[in-house]
Amino acid sequence: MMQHARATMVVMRRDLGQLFGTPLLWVLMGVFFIATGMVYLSLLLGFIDDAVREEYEISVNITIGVIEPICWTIHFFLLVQVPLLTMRTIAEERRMGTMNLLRTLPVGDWPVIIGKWLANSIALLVYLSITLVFPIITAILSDPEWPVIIASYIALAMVTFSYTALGVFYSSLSESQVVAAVLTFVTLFAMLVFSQLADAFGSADLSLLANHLTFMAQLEGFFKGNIASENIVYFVLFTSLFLFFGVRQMESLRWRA
Amino acid sequence: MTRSPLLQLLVPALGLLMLLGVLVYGAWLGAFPGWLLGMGGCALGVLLLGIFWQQAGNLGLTITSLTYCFFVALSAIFIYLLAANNSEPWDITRSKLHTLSPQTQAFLEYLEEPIEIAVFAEPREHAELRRVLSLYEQNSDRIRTGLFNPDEDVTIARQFGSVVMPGDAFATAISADGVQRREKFTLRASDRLIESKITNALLRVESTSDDKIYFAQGKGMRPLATDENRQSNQPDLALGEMARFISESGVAVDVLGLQGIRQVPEDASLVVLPSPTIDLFDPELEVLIDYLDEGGALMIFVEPLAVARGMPNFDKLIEHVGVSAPNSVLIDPLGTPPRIIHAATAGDHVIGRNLGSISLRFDFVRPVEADPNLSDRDVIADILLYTRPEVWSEDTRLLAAQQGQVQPPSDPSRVREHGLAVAASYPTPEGPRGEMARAVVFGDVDFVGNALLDLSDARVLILHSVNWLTAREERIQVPPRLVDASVLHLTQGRYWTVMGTLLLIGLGLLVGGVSYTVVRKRFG
Repeated sequence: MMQHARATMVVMRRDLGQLFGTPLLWVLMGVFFIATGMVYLSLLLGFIDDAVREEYEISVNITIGVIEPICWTIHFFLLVQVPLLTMRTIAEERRMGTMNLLRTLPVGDWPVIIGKWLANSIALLVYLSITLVFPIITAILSDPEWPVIIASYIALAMVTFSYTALGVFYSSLSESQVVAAVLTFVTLFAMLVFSQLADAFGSADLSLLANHLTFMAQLEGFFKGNIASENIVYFVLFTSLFLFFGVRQMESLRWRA
Repeated sequence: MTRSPLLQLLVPALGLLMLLGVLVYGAWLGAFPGWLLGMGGCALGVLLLGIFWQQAGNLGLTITSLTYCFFVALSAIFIYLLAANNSEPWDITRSKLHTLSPQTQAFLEYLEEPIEIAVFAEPREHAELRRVLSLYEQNSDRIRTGLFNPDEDVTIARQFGSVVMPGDAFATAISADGVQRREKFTLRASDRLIESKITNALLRVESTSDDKIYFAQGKGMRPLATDENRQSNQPDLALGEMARFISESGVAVDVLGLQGIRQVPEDASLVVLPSPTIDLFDPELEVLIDYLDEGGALMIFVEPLAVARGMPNFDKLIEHVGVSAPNSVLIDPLGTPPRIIHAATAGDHVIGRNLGSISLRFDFVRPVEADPNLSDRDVIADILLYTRPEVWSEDTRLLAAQQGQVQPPSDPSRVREHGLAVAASYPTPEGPRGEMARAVVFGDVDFVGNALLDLSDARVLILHSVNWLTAREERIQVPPRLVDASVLHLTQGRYWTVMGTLLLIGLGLLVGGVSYTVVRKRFG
């Protein structure tokens, strides 16, 4: 057990060093932070307009009018960041031949997968922690509800874990980073639009399925301040499932012809 | 099993074809029933098998691995469904937006009759509506809910009407004697008034009241039946419509002849005095005061009187509950004509607290003010309705002498908000009828007459008054749940500071981070 933990930490530290040592992560963080900042400023101005017009009584609450939309914006940008970050996790190692070196470690495939997943997740959590600037500024200017903010950020952290688990799995499927990135992005985007498609088809069964399958429905409770245990279970299961699939994929590399 | 190139191509192709077929058929059908979704799952499985088989080159191990993954995924789904069915939501918002209000919970606790709520909505609204309806089911085992798609559940929709649209909702109560009462209302998932709409519909349809309301007659009071001999150009001022809609809310209504009355009937929960024009005799006044002191309730309507003598005994009755109603007329300079008072603002009393700025039309209204010192009882009196601040009162006789022509008073202190209705109560701890005597006094009766009742929010006001007077506060309609309004202190300077800070952080990450990686690469 200790051996596995040490191996996981070794892989995680190595990958973290690689992630922070290449420009990609910094560019993604900088660009998307600025983009999120622009959205945030427009939300602030829009909030003032709504308050003056008193047209939408409900939106004259800063948590609903600014914090919730900014959390959705951060989530939406994660859909783009995660595939770009995770695409090279295993695909690059396979292409360069360093995967064979990793597989010689006497600790199995779990530490490799978990270590890489942790590294990518921590990198994105660093980004998420920087975006805490938005609720802090909001708290200086107004009076948002901190329990809802904390719940929203816990949800963003959980969804980060889930997305990176998916990205790591897809990265293990192919030697091509592009294929891995495209597969991850298409899957995440498909889950995003699935609920809209279900509505378009007008099927109650499909809508119910979309409600349980898609991240949107699971995140909505957190962002609105109505947390259910099923949402937490969903993220934990999703993350565990794709980490498991990643390990199975790594195992299959051993017995492929 | 050796690798066959043709088979390795055919299997994923078959899976892809099946998947496309499922999607096309579902699109044509306009729906994805369970069996079709199952077929889609199988098609996906075949496709994945084909893809992995191609990569693995070993069918046996591929199947074993995929089967292993399949059962793990199935277990995960099972655990999730278990969690979903046993999940208790936790509302962490300040205004408790996702929890039923205390008023709704109190009403559900008192609910005696079973009520079914049927909501017809588009599928995309089902998730949110289901969440809200489940809260009602959790809080009362007398509530059953059903959520339907009017396009799919046509047979069920027909039970509620020939045309049922998305957004239509129905609350149906069946009393012990088999009488079915149904209330139709509109409901949308995006509607922030969703809880108050559902609860208010339940309130309207539920009826377990043993109350009986008596409309006093005689003494020149407004009748219930329309005067068939009135001229066609005269408005119908009878109160039959008011009595009818009160009885439809589940309260029995009867008439009480006030002339020579010796005792108010024992089953009287409330007595309505619709603006007497002939004064009470002393014994009649005593009977009504005794009734109040026993814990009874009165709903009193007054009108400005053109008579010189006034009605001293009737004034004593009103003063007994801490209310003063000087014989004058309220004048609103913006009313057309000025004696018409259109707008009214509700006070903080429970009767009017959720009414806000309601629409009422008072024609020739007498000011009604709270003055507990007038009574020798321990009265608490609150003004229910206020006029606008630009209103003043004129003596009735003076107004008649001026032939209705009005000028603003020279004394500006007379121009102020006036009371249009007062709710008063005092304790009657040993009262056989109740522990609290209650009264509501309105400065006008025409606004609840047959001609004007439906032109304003009078019904809601009367219903709330009846519920309060009969000590059924839990049946007073639930106000919409409002979130706390936020104030944003954003000056132009602060805006630029925020923008500068965000740009600084973003550019710092971009430039600083890239520089760091370059330096690190160069110097190892």
